[in-house]
Amino acid sequence: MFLDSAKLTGECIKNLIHELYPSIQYQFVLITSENDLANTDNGANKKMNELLNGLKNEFQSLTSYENKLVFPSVLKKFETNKQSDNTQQINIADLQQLTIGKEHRLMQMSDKLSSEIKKSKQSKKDSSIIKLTQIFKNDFAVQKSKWNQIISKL
Amino acid sequence: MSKSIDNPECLFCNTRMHSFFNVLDKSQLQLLTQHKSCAIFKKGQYVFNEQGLPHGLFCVNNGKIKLSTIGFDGKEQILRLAKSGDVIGYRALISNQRYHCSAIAIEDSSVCIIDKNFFFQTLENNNKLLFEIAKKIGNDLKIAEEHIVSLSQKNVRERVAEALLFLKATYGFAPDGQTINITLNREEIADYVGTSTESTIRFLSEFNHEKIIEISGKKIKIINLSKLTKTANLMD
Repeated sequence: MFLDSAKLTGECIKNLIHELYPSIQYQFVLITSENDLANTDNGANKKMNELLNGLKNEFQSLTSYENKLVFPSVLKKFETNKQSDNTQQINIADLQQLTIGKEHRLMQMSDKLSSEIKKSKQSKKDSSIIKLTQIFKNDFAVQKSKWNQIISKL
Repeated sequence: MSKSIDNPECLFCNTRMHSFFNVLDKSQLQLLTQHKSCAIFKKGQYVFNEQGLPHGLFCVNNGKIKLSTIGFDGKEQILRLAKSGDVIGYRALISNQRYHCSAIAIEDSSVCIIDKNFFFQTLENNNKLLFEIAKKIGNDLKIAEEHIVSLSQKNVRERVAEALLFLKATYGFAPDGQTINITLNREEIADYVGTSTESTIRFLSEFNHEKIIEISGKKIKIINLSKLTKTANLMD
């Protein structure tokens, strides 16, 4: 049971780090290389550019905390459980609460970006941004929900 | 619909002295009067709409107008308030762009609308007016840049608070129940925040000053956890 849980957690982390996050990063790169929204004076484009920057920064911030603190802490929890060693007081519930806050913020930004696209008329540019918002809606939200279910049980 | 009223003479308008039209001479002011119309906007009425095309320049004769836009969260964001003597809508008019915000009367207001073509002709022939407008635009730009800096700084403040909460959740407290159980130098904290060491030091000092945290060398004691959580703005 314990090993199953550890394996499931490890697989989930692997999936986030090696599958989901690179696909989001790739989409950000694609959007940047296709066009530069910041170079236009159009009000809607400016809004989209700001939202995209905000989304990118928040995403990088989340992945940075997860890579440096959250994932190692969760994996360490299994190690310490195995060794019955409680020297580091990792508070998984607090970490989860903080990351959920950031995930919630990311989803809000993605939803707003999605509604801004509906107002915009730049089709080529929009298709990459639409793809990004779809990844957040269909993949990020689903995998994060799965992740949160796993660590809630720890 | 706004209600048209008789044109007040620009020559005798007290509020003109507070606008960039104060550099016009008597004959120019008489011409200005001929090329404008004046209207009353009831409270809540739109003087102009976001994304609308400018057809003239608006000079607030009396009352108060708010300039606002809809933010990313769908909420109204007030950019600034215009009062008696303020000229609005000139940025879009001069740059030949659509309005980036709406102007709405927040109390019954009288507003003079100056004809676009006349305004441009006057600009072409009047260096003093041109210079006054350049000064006004320069000042507006300064205010906007200060606003941008304050917004980005606010964001960094949130992120510094967030970093401390992550560190606390990961490493817990020392036996005193307040000190984060890890020693990190300012560069390492800045790396978590994703900002410069200087900014991180500045906000840590601010938190220290506001008694949210207490700094002792590399040790950080969280004095007011609820305020730190509120500052991080993550729990909405």
